[in-house]
Amino acid sequence: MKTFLERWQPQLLLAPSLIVCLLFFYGFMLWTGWISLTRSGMLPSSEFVGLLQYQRLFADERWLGALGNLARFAALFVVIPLILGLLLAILLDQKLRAEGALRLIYLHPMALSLIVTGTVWRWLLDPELGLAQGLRELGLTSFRFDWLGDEDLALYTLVIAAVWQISGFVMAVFLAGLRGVDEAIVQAARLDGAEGFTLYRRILLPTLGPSLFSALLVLLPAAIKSFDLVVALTDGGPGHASELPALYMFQMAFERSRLGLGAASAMVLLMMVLSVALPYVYARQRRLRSAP
Amino acid sequence: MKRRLMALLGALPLLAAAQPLDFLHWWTAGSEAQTLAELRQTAHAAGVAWQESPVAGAVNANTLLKTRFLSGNPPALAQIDKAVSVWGEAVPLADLSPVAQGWRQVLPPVIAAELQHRGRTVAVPINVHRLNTLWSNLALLQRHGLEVPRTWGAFFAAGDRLKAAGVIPLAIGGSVGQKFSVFADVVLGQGGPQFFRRALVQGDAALLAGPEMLQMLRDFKRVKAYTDAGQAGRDWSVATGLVIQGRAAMQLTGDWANGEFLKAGRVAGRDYDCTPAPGHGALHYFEFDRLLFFRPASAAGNRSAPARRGADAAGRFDPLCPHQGRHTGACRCRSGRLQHLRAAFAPGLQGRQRRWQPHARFRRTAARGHARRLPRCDFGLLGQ
Repeated sequence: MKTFLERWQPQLLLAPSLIVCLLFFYGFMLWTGWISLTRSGMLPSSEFVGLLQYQRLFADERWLGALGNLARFAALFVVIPLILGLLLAILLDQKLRAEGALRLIYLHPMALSLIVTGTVWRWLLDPELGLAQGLRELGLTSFRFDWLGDEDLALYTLVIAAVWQISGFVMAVFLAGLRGVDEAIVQAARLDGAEGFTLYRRILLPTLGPSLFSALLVLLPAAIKSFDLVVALTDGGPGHASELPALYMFQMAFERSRLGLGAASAMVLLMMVLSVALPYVYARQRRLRSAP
Repeated sequence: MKRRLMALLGALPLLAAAQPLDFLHWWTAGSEAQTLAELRQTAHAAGVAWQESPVAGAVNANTLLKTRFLSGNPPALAQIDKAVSVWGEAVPLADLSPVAQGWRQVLPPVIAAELQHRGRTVAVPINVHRLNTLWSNLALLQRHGLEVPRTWGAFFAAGDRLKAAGVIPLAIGGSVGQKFSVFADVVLGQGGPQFFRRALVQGDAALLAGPEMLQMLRDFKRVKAYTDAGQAGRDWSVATGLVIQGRAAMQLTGDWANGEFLKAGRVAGRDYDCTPAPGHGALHYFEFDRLLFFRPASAAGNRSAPARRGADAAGRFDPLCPHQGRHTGACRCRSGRLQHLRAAFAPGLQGRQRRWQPHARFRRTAARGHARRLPRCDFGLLGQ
C-alpha cells in the first residue's frame, strides 16, 4: 500500500486539477467546436451543417466590422502601452528615491478589474458629468469631450481606458528587463564613455528583446479577448461602432439566440489567440531542445 | 390592466399540484413586485402551490431559462419577450386551448394570433405597451412658440429652433431599445405599416436596399444631431427626467414613461403631452409580455430538439393522465406535473368552470387600464 502511494503520489496529486482542466478547458473547447458545426439556435442542437455557420459569420457585416474595430483597437492597445511602459521604466530606472511608491502607483490600475476600469472611465469620459464638466467648471467653458457618444471616436475611449490599465504592467516588465542587465556590462560601457541616451540605445534596449516578447504575449491575447471593458464602457455603442469580436460572440450566443454562430465566432477568436501563442511555444521548444 | 389580467390568470381553476408551479420572470422592480404579489395571491387563493424564480434583467432571465431546459429542470411557466414560435421550435409547450376558447372574442386579433403556436394557444398576455409615443414638455415648447410636431418635417424644424435656443430637442437613453424605437418611429412614420411589415418583419431585400430605406436611414442619423452627448449608458427614465426638468423638450419612448411624469406630479395636457410619434396618426405600435406555459415532463432527458419532436409525434405525451379520476392530490404517474397543468387548464374537467369568465372581466380591465395609464392618449386599443 505504502509503495503504491509512494509510486503514484505525484500522479494522484495532479489528477484533480488535470481532470478539471481537461473537462472544463479542453472539453468545452471541443464542445464549442462541435456546436459551431451545427444548426444550434436558441438551444444546442445536433444537426450537422458543416461550415455553414462560418460562412454566415464572414458574410455578417457586424462581425467584419467588429474585426476591423479589433484591428484598430489592438494596434493602439499594443503600441501605446509599449511606448509608455518603456518611457516609464526608463524614468524609474534613474535610481529615484521614491521608486517603490511610484512603481506601486503606476502598477495600481492593474489591480482593478476591467469592469471597474470601464465603469470609472465611463463616468470620467461622460460629456456632461465627467472630466469635461470638471474642466468647464474650472473656467474652460467651451471645452468639449464627447467621444463616448460619437460613433467615429467611441472606439478610442476603449483605448484610453485599456492603456491606462495596462501601461503599468508593461512598465514593470521592462523595468525588470532593465534591472536584469548585468551590472558589469553597464560598467564596461560606462568605461568606454557611453552615458545617458547612448547607454540606453546601444546597451540596454537591445537586451530588452525577451521583455518585449513577454509584453506582446500578454497584450495581444488581451486585446483579442477584450470583453468586460467594452461591456462596462460603451456596450459596443453607439450602435455597433465600438463592438469587438468577443462582445459579438456573447451577444450572438446568449442574446440573439444564434448559438451556432456564436460558437463559430468563438472558434475564430481561439484561433487568433493560438496564432499569437503557438509560434512562441514552438520557438521556446526549439530553444530548449537546442540548449546544451 | 396588468393587475386584472393577473387576476384573470389566477382565476383559472388550478389544481393543487404535488410540485409547485414554478414561474420564471424578471419583474424585480418595485411596481413589478406589486404585480407579482397579485398573481401570487390569486394563485394561493386558488390552492395552487406557487413558486417564483425571479431573475434581474430580461437577458439573464432568457439565459437562465435556456440553462434550466438544458439541465432538465425547466419552470412550468415563464415571462417571455420573444415570439412564442422561438420557444415552440425548441421545446414542447403546454396546450392552453381548452381554457382559451373565447379569447379570440375578447382579445385583439393580432394579440390572439401571437399567443398561438401550431394552432394551439400556448401563452397568456399580461400587458400591452404602446411604443410609438412622443412625450413632450408642453411648457417648454410653448415658451419657444412651438407646437407638438405631428410630422417628421415639423419635428426637424422644431428641433432646429430648440437647439438654437440651447435646449436638447430629443432626450434619449443609451440602450439599443431606445435607439431602435426611434428608428421604428422613423420607418413607421414615413413608410407606413405596410412598408414596415415588408421591410423590417419580412426582410424584403429590395425594400431594404431601396431609396426609401436610404432616406429613412439618413433621417434616423439626422435625429442624432438633436440628441445630447451624454446619452451613453443613460437609462430611459433618466432621459424622461430631462424632459420633466425642462432640459430636453421631447422623448420618443413607450407608454411606460407616463409613470415618471405622474410620479413627478406633472399634469397631462398642461405640463406634458403624449402624442403619436411624428407621422404616425392613429397607428398603434405595441409590444406585450406573455406568460408562456411549458410542458414540463417532456423537457427532462431529451436534449436535442429533433428527438423531442419525434417523441411528440409518437404521442408519448398523452394529454390526459389516465389516473386523473382516481386521485385528487399528487399524481404519481410519469408526467405528473404535466397532467396537473393540463387538468388545470381544462375547465370542464373539475367542474370549476364557473370561475372562468373572461369576457366581461377582460373588457373592463382593458378599458380601465388603458384610461388610467394613458390619460390623453386613448386612441383605442390597437386602433389600426
